[in-house]
Amino acid sequence: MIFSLSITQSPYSHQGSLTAYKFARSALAKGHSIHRIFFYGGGVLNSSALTIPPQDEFNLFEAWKILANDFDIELIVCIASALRRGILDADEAARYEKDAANLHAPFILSGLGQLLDAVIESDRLITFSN
Amino acid sequence: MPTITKILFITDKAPYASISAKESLDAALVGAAFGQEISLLFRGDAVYQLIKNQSPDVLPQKNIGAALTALELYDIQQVFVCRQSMLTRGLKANDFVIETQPFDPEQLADLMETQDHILTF
Repeated sequence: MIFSLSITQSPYSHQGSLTAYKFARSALAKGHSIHRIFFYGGGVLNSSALTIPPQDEFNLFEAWKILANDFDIELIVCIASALRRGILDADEAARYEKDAANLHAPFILSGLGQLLDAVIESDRLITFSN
Repeated sequence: MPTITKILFITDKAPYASISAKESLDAALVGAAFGQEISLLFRGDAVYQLIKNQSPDVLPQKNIGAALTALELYDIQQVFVCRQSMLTRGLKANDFVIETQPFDPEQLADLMETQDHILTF
């Protein structure tokens, strides 16, 4: 089965991002595929390259990157949610004349249309909203 | 011609306390702009998103009630509201900014059955 995931709450404040990661790993282990992971609302904070969790905690940011690269999964970050929360790629940093960018591949800034496209292209879209 | 996907958006969050209400509406409107068959379902504190005469400008936030009137422009006609949630909050259908269809919690499973996808917020 082809899954896509939507993550709407920030990591570290909420469990949803970790649960989504565990779900993705389990689904892949069972032979399913993950088409796209869409980060919406506070979920976009998963994509900040400036994330530094304490060394004895699970590093979800690094885990997403490894997962995406190993299984060719699209990590799409809602651009409107991201800009509000200070998540910028190099293009947006230049456009808004900001000093730094903190979003890099494999995370990609894009629009809400990518969420709806994932719904249409996948057998199931699972939302992690807690 | 591409097939049309039936997508139900379920929201149960009050407006303004979080961005959830705005996010569910934005996603529903994009779905409609993609030409899909979109339905919305309000339950729990989400029924407060629908009430008339909201004045969030003092917060300051944008008016969710006013934004919901755009649903018609996007040809989203299926707007369901949990009758129980209305009742427990003392709200009636004519308290709302748009026309809605009340439904009973026990009808939810049947409604979900008719959909291809369900997005919860």
